[in-house]
Formats: sequence, structure tokens, C-alpha cells
Amino acid sequence: MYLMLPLLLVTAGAAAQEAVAPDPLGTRFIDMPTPFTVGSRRIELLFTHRFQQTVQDGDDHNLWGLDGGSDVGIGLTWGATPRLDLSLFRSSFQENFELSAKYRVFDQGERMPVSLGVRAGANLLRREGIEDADRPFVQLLLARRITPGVSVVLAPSWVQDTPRLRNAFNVPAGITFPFRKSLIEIEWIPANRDLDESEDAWHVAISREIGDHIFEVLIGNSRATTVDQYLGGDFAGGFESGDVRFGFNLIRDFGL
Amino acid sequence: MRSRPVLERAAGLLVLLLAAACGSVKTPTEPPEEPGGAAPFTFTRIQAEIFTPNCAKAGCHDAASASAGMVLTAGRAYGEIVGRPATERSSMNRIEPGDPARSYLVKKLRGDADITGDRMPLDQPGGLPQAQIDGLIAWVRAGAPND
Repeated sequence: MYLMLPLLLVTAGAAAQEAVAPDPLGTRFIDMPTPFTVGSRRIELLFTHRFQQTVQDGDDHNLWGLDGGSDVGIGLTWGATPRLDLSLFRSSFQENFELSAKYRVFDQGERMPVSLGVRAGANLLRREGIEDADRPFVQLLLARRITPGVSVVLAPSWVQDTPRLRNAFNVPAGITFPFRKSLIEIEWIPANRDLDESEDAWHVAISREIGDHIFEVLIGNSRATTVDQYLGGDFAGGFESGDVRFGFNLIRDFGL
Repeated sequence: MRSRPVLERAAGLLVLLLAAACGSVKTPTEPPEEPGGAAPFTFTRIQAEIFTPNCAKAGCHDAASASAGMVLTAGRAYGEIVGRPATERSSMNRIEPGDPARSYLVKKLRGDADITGDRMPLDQPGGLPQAQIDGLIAWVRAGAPND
């Protein structure tokens, strides 16, 4: 059932084969997606790394958390058409597989104030003992480029289950600023209004494209990288607003 | 001029998302009140029967290795776990006196679904004998005394 919407998107995408230009924002912000796609006949490889120990709990003996464990994510995205991406991402945290399809509906232009995309899929958690382990989600992806290097991204999103919520809705937001040859990215996922214990999640990254690679070095409070884990502000691994952790994303594009 | 219908469709989808926005908090699964009838453990017994033979080993939680920044050798273990934040989850203490559900070490020994990394001890995939886990839970529930 969860694959029905992606299949519909595949059908819709097959009808739209015109070339679209890649956007400097890329297909992914820090954890939230952007409306943009990889491009036809291209694949994108993603590695995420989130250190578990907080900087404040560490010291110079463990390099403020860098000696400790981490949650690792590996993802692959295939550009099925210029406007349609099919993705598989797997996070080591609770063996979380995120299957998704993203359709780039339209781009910002003279008559269009924003770029818009739709993403649908499901998180499938394979660690034993987890309740509600299959968690479908839908995201509406909006981006507006204000000036070169300055963009705003919003992602009104619904997921059937988070660790503590049923039918969770939230609006992750992001903004970028140019910094020399890099981008500063700020991402904020508000505390969920339906859960008193929910926490705001924040990340700040410096992102730089070198060759076909994008390197993002980041700090933030939460380790969540999948929709079901970041939407409720109730990441099952726990976090607090004042936590500071290191992490990085590495993205590599390939032409087929 | 096709922008308006597309925008209308996008607005419709947003309305659908908002309609689905009535989130509700799930009922948490509470741990059992009584830990299976196991006899209460003292901390001395926990150290002797659980930490020293299973945890305070080279490459694990002896003083030289201190995995996750935690030493579980006799004489050090109590100060390292009771009221000290868990490395893998700083919002929880390793042992929260009186509250097994908020004690991350208990979750690691039980292999709860929400732990980071593997169930402990690593070399016992099935975990400690249930009687030992129950005994440690009873000790935490009793206030985790240094007895």
C-alpha cells in the first residue's frame, strides 16, 4: 500500500521527460529534502554520520565526542526521469530503511514564486521489538531562492508514526547563506505541538561542492536523519535542545 | 498560464496534510511493576555477579578500555553509573535511582528497541540471565543504594 503513491509518481514522471537544470541547493538540505531532483540517468550516493556523544559530555580525552560511536546512514537515489527520484536510505539507528519517491512538480520562475516538490514513502524499521515499525509519510517541499546563495526551504510533512506520536505533522524549515565558496545551511524542526516533551531540533552546516562531491560538516542537537525520527521532536535515541553534536554528510553524484 | 491549476493542486495537497495533522500521543509500554520475583540484589552482588565477570574486561569496560567512557571495575563502577548521563543518550542517566525505565544501563542490558548500538554484554547476544536483569532492576527500583 505504501508503494502506491510512489508508483503514481512514477507514472506521472514518465510523462514529463523534459530536461531540468540541477539546483545549487541539491536534493537534500541537512536532514530534510529539497524539492529538487538528481536529474535523469543520474544516481546520487549519500553518507550521513552523526556522532552520538555530545560535545558537552566529552572532553579532550575523547575529542569532545569524536572518539565515540555514531549513527551511520547510507543512501542511493536514482533519477528515473528529470523530475522523478527514487531513493533508498538506510540508517543504522534501529535499522531504519527509508524508501521514497520525489516528484519535482515545478520550478521557481517569473510566474512561480517557489519551487515545489512532493515526496512520499515509508520508514521500515527492522530492529526487533519496535512497535509500529512501518511508517508511511508524505512531504510537500517548497523552496524559494531569494538571491544567489540565499534560499528558504519548507517541508510541511506528515508521518503515520514517530517514536511517541501517531499521525504527526510538522514543518521543517531551512535557510542558506553564501559564505565564500561555500553555503551556510541552517535547519530547524520545531518541537511538535502534540507532544509536551517534544524538543526543537536544529542543525548548522557548512556545505561545499568540490567536483561531483558535496561535503557538509555540521553541528546540531539531534541525531535523527529519517522522517519518522525527526518529525515528532521525539527521536528515540533522545536529545535535548541544548545538546551539541558533530556530524557530516557526504554526497556524490554519478552520471549513468 | 498553467501555473494557477498547479498552485491550486499544491494548495489542495497542503490542505490534505493539514487535515492529517491531528497527532496523538501513543500510550507508552510500561515496564512490569515487579521484576519477576527475583530476590533483591545488593550493589556488591551486582558488582560480583554481573559487572566484574561480564563487563570489566579488556576491550570493554576495564579501566584501560573504558568503552563509552564507562569503567565498571570494582570500586569505580558505582560512581560511573549512578546519576551519571549515558554517553549514548545524554538525556538519560546510566542509572536513575528509583526509576528503571529512565535508566539507560537497564535498557542496554534488556536490549530495548530504542537503544543505540548493541545489547550488552556484547559477547552474550541473548543477554544476561533474566534473573540477573530482574535483580538489577529491583536494585534500581529500590533507589540504587551503594550497599
